[in-house]
Amino acid sequence: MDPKTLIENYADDAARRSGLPEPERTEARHELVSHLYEKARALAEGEEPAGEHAKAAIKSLGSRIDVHRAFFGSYTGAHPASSWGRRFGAFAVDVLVMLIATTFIVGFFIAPVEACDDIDAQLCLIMNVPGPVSFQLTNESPETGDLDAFHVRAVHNMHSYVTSLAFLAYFVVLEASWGRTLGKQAFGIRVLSMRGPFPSFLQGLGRNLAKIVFPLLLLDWLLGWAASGDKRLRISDILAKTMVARN
Amino acid sequence: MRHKGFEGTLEDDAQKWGREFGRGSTRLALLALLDRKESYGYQILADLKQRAIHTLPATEAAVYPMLKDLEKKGLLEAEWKAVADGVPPRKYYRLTEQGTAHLALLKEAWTQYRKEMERILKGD
Repeated sequence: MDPKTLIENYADDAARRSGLPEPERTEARHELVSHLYEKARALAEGEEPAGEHAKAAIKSLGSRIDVHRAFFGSYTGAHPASSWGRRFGAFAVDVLVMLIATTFIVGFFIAPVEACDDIDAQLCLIMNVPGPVSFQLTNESPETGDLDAFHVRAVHNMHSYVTSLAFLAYFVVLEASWGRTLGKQAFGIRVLSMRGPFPSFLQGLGRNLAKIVFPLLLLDWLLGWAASGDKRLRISDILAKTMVARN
Repeated sequence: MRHKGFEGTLEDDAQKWGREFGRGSTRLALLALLDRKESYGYQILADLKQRAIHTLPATEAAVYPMLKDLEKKGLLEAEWKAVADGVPPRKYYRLTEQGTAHLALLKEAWTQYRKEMERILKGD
């Protein structure tokens, strides 16, 4: 078995047995993984550690009680997880950036105004958001045809699917190459992976899929809260083995 | 040879007391190591083992809980840092201002303790 998988499985088991609440449990688990990996690397004497080095590193820690005492026994409460305030602020910035990009670039140059062809209004703007529909902003009343106040209605627009893919690509590509998006950078947070400095594309895809259909994001958060007892963890982050931390 | 009133031999008992001295000094050693530069759990253990294998309890069970305790008390602060591709992030510890002040006091206390013990041991 791959040494990282051996180490992560061991740490997952130790964390599960620890009985610590979140986020202390995740923090302690991360530190155990880090320690075991460094130990395995030292045992491999400069080479890439193999399964046998991971096993030896695990064995060197002693009994499960020794491991619990060392890593899970007395937790301080400090944790790497970022608060929801920062995450929400970062997400709002990212959505704004992408709304501008998709509405004005996609909306004007690629997908524009077929949804506005039948509108005799001074204002008609298609706001492409992730999901199967876009939102048409106009000052023509859909019921009477009068030009009055602003009206927003959902319209089915093939290019909303393009928008969804653009949103997803923005999060996945930036997090895989830079560890953060523009919004996360603005709020001083980043995505960490337990498998390396940045999440992989697959990890990025897994943790960001829910963002392209906003109701799924709510479910993502509720399931994460139910699974971990901590309302700062989304289920997609738990499954992707990633976390959002302060810089 | 087992001695009356002691658990085990006299040597065992002396070793046990030696470990007690070490345990009491671990906080000073950790803070002093981190005063030089920030470091992470595994490296701190390796440094302790290299410098003080016979006197300080350089084990995971001794060091990691102490690091967490010092962090809780505000003497250390910690930050997760990415390392390299394929390597899990490391949790780096460094002294806070409070930690630096506390280290200075511990060093004074240690110096005083050493002077007075030496005086006693020399029979002064």
